[in-house]
Amino acid sequence: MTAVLSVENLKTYFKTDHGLVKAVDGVSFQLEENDIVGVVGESGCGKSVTMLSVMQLIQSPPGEIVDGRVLFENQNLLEYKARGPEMSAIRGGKIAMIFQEPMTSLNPVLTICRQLTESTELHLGLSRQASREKAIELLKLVGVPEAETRVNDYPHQFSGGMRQRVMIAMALSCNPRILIADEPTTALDVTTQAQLLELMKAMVERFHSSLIIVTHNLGVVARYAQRIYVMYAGRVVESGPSEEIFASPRHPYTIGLLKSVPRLGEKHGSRKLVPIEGLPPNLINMPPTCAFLPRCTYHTAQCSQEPWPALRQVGDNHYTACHINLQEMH
Amino acid sequence: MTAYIVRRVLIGILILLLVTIIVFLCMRLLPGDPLLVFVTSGDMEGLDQQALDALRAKFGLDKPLPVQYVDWLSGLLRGDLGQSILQSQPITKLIAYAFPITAQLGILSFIIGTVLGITAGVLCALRRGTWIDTVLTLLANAGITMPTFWLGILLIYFFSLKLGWLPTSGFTSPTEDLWANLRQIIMPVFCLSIGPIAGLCRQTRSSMLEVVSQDYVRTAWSKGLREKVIVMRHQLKNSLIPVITILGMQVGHVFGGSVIVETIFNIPGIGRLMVNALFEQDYLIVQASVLMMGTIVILANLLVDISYGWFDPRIRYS
Amino acid sequence: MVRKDDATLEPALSSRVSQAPHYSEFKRIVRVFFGRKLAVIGLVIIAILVLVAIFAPLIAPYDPIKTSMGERLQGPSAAHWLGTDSAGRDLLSRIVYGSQTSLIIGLIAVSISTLVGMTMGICAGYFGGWVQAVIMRFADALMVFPNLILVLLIAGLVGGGMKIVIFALAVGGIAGKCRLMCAQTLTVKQNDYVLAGKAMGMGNLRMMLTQILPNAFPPLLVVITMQLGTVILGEASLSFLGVGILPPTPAWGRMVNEGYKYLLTNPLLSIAPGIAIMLVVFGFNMAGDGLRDAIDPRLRGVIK
Repeated sequence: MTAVLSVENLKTYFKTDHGLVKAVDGVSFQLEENDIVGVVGESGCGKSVTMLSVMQLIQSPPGEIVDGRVLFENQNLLEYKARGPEMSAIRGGKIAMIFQEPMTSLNPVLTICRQLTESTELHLGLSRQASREKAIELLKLVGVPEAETRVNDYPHQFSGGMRQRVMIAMALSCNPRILIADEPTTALDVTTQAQLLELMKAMVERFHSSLIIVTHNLGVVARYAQRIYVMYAGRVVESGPSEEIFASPRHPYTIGLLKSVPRLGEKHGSRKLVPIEGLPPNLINMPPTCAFLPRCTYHTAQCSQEPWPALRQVGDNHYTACHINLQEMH
Repeated sequence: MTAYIVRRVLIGILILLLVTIIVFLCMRLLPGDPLLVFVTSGDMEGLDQQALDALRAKFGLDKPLPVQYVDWLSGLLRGDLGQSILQSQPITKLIAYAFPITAQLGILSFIIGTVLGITAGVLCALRRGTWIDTVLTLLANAGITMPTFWLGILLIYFFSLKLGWLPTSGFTSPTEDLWANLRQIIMPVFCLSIGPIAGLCRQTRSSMLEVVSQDYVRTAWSKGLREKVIVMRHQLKNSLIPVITILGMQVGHVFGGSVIVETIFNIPGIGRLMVNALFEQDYLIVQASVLMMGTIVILANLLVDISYGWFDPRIRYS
Repeated sequence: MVRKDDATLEPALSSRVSQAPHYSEFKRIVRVFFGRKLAVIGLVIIAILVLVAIFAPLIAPYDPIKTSMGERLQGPSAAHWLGTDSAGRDLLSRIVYGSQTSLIIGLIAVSISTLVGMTMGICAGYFGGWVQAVIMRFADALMVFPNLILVLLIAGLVGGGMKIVIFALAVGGIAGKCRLMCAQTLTVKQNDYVLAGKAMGMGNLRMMLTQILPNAFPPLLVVITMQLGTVILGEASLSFLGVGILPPTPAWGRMVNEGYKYLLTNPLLSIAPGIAIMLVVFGFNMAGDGLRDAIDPRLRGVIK
């Protein structure tokens, strides 16, 4: 299967007062046609920065994409200028993104209609009237009630969940090939979360797009993603088909993540929830060894002496960045 | 929206009332005889106590202070601003003559200041860190620190005395002689507009920079809009909200500046009228001019408040 | 491949956990402030002003007040670097001593307006209700008057003089501080430590002094710094118009006015004091700007 998006060895660094922050330090992943991919990791692991780098939305200064390739439709997107016409045509038109904070991601002084018609007028060349009709249609599709009247409202008149639906409508308005959802439900309550995830899955199927969900919540990707990438401290530490990741995780971090959340079906009290000890690392002046080492319960002497392991294959399309053969350690 | 406007208007009236009280108190709490407001000290000299008391009664100074205030206020509302002591003219006439002059200077300075200031600010924000930004910001910083009177003097020194291009002072009505009028107002308008230009440039710049880092701007970029569209449609309107506040304040500053500018360039506007009256102790003129300026400032602030509603829909619908 | 003699690998790395560096708030403010060139320049100017004012008797070559009619209206020379004025007084010395006037007036006026404005603002914000309404309307009314007009009104009615000038300038600065402190107090009031204080039964005065004031204060520092500049400018304007500091005390504004008559022959008489005013106001404004940026938490860790 051809990958619709292929990111190779992406590196994005930030120059700050305290030093050089290697937010993304050699990340590679593939997104197959019509697939849903989950990118999981805790705050600060670089998953959002990775996606922003794909879209070239990194604020520069202080950030800079220093290495890597982003292959989309046989073209390395990083060769385009960030503010140039080629990237602008791709953003919104071919690759669209939804962000975490629905409360602040919409312009407060423009109507929802205007914010929806902007994209369709630009990328699809529709007239104002046609765009407006399409906007109403999209709002109905994402489940905004009374779409004909509400399309003229302003963002502050919508609830958080509704705003996120509007964002989804905006992102899908030009039939993009890829939709990137960066922590789309983190700021919302659990019921709304579930509704929105179902909505995204349905939309992506309907529009034949591919979806990347970025989240720190394993539960979100467990249900929907075909493939999962686990990130830590700016790198991918494990990747594989989602069933395999959940059934036999092969990186101590993934194992830690799974141990610290309850699972449906477990009997209450049958297992203790074990949090991962320690704090996320400081991304400035990282030691050359494995970044997870200080928090790892499986480490051996080998881990303190060798540099951070590269990804090695441990199963069918299943890779891990760990020296140890964890199957023996379980 | 109407409820919002009505409320702002009512508050505006209340504040105007408070302003009249402050002005009234300033006048009446003069050290010295309050009769000085109505009669010059020279006139008072030759009079005996009885005559003085009669005068005081005539001007209602024997009544309690609040009653005097109400009398004065009702006089104002009837359009009676009083008589100038020294010029024996109704003050209304004096103000009617002086006001259009200050208005011409003020309005010109205001418009120039607004257009240039906001444009400069947008330019600085968009080209942040480049030489344009550095130069303009430096000039703006200099602009707000420069004493208006000193700038006026510098201009006179160079353009009138040294180069002889422009007249040092005076004012001719534009209806009489447009060319002379223009030559005379170039320097005063320049002095008056420096403050607004600099202040607005700084505020617009900082507003735009703040807006640039907002999430919705990132969303706009992610939709593939080009920079020009993002600036004009998404950033500008949001940036202008704090700038409008400053705009309201600039009206006040223009009046304050006109006091100095009219004095230096000898222009018979309200500012000079007020200052001269202050020195000549013709206090009713001072009272009237200050009130007039105050009313206009309040109106300007009212307009600012109302325009918030237009710019920011969140206010409109709350 | 393990290279045991690789200097970059240390043996006991497993025990080392790299933590985010702890920068105390104060250090951060100082660092951001000094990172901005203009702010540093402003601070330097202020320092120079203070030093000149304090050491004026040592720095000024001549007595600023003693007249010497034989030497009047001389241009710059070796004996008088900036020349002499219409009464034969050395311009440079007058400018040097003028710094004392400006600084004293600035400090006293701003102190008074801060004290009054701050108190009014905190009370308005703390007590809310009609107290807030009354105080804020009063502040609004004061703000209607353009600064110069208000100051002119108060000072002009009395004909000038140090005390009334200070009083007038102080009054001019009250409204802005009052509004700021009211807004700040309203924000600070929401915090949990205020609720905790109330739960402990803390009295109102103690609450305002120990909880509200220290937390609401920082933005006021910016206003105070900028106000020093505004006040000095205001005093200069007043002196220029003739209702400021009375002669013979050297006051920069009045010196500009006095020098105006001789603009063609001795332009320095007007221009030099004006430069002094501008530099000082510039210094305060830039320092105030730098302080505002330094206190702003959003600029944490970002290089401009």
